[in-house]
Amino acid sequence: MTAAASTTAEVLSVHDLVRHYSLGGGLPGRPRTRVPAVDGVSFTIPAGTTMALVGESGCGKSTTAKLILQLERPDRGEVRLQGERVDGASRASLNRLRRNVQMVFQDPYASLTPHLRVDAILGEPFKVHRICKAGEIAARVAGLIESVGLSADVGRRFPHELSGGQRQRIGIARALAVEPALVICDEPVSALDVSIRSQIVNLLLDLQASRGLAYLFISHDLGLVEHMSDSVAVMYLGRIVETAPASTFFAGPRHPYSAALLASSPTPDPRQRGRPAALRGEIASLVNLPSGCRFRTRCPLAIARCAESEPVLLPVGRGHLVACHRGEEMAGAAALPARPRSDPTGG
Amino acid sequence: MSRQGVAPGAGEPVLQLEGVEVRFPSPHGSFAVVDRLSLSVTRGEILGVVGESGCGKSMLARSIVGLVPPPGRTVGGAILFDGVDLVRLSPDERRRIRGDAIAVVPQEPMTSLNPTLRIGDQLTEVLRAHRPEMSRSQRRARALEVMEQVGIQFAGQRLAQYPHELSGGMRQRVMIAMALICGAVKLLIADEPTTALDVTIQAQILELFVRLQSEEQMTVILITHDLAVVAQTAHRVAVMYAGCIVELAPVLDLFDAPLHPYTRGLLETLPRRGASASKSHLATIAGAVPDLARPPAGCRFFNRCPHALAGICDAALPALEPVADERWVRCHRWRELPAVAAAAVGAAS
Repeated sequence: MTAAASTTAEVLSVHDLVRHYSLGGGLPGRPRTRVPAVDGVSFTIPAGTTMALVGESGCGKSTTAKLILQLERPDRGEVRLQGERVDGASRASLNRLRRNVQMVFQDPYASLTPHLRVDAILGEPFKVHRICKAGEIAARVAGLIESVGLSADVGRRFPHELSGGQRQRIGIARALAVEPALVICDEPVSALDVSIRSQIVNLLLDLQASRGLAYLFISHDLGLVEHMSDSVAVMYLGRIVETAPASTFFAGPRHPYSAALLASSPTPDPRQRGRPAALRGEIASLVNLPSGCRFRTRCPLAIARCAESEPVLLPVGRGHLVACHRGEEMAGAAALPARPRSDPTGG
Repeated sequence: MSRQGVAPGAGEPVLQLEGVEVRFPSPHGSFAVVDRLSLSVTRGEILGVVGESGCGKSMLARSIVGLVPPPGRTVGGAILFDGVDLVRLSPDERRRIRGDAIAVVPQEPMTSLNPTLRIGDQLTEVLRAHRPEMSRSQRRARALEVMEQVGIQFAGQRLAQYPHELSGGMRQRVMIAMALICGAVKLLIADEPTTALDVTIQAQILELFVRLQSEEQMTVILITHDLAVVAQTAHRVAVMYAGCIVELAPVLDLFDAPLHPYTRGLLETLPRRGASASKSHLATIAGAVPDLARPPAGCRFFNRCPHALAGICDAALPALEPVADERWVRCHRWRELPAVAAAAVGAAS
């Protein structure tokens, strides 16, 4: 087996995950086209650590999450939980998967059943997974509510009676009910106000420390990613183009797309205007992928070779993989040309 | 460099709000979502308005263009645009200004564009309304010109496309083109214009706003919840909380030395790249925004403020008072509060 090397210290390992979607074909004479939403994604998450998955909308990061949870069937590839395959169709392996991997969604309102009270919402996982006797559920739910920093009376309320931050705490509590090893957080704070955001971030950090949780943290907020993550994987058009320990990544990304993401992400510091360039153009279409490197249509460093062959992930440093023909030359964001920005002094 | 952050052309106001009040009825009497707000917007500046959801920033924008959704209403105050009080104009007169001299760029371009109309028809509709004397071919030529100006490639083809055929960034460029098409826009109000966009596209759109402001001497009010966005684009920043401006300052002053405890709190909660210790706790602002239907008698931030003093802060709403050149703050205690927190924030950046 290819993944024989995986150990139990890895809570999750994903190998060569592929998922194509079919488009078109609705009209006679219009052929169906297959687009690769996720195209050969592999990574591992050690227990108790956080891996961030970053990239623009449509890059396949949420589809990857769905494939891990088997909410979508991968066309190819394997998902291993603590070394054991869980992507089989059997009920037992699905149960095992979902008792160990849970998800926290972006919009805490849309992901809570509106006509159930909070204690009913939180009681559900105990029933579904037969975790405890019916008589014990109330006590377990009360414990969950307390563990996410809410007062017990919240249990009697409906989701619409709660604030956004409280709702997200309930979403987190629900994920914790089965005592998972890994929680997939898909933009867990981007729908929340700034002053609430840091409270939820702190809660996630505390829960990781106290329960040894691993997180797959899907986010577009690179400031938060740097704060939360042990490792980072950058996706572009269905493929991972760079993966590295967080400190290595933020010290100097080696893929031009990673560098552009970092440069484009605005910093809350008016003295740091006019930093290196944003990208020109927009993400290419999955229907019409460019030849060679998928990023070359926007890449400021593209050369003839980039159109000829698609680069594969190659090691450039400790735990640092980059898929770029020019990765060797990339010395971080400084390799990109600077562009003028508005001067905060108005001059 | 004592006047850092002063907008170009500082001094000449293009828009003056005086005691603007937007109220919504409720079963317990009406409540103000924008509470007697006064503000002067300088010609040619980018003014950032930041605040969290429900602080009244979007209602302020809607009030300026006369589009407060019923049953809400702008009930008091004056909105002077080039000396004319917009509040006193008839709906017809307001319509003539809106889309012509004052234009709005909304947050979600998909829901603001009509999905059943081609881009070209939607763009030129503005000209049909405001420039009836233009011929069909003149309108088309103007549409192509303005699309080019906002960086839309293959403009000729785009005219025949429907909104769903465009990407989010391209749709937002169309909305900006629509705001500019009459060629007379003096004030552009952008309400969370990049919130729905990816960061690389956000950077392009913000760059476009900055270019328009500097090339066309346009005044831009940029409404956002994102402090990083204002840090990157604005000349001056107004921070709103519970219907009031709590701090108004040139952008460098605000980020270097925030005066209001709420502004400080907001800045401290942000993780800073390369600065915050990994996996350490972020600063938080405890509590929640007060219920606007029953606003507290004193400072609206009283229940969440680490420096609140009973008997002073909860006794009366502090006034927005001038504290330095171009700097205003609404806090009873701004003089006494040590600059410690500000220094910590400054050192972290």
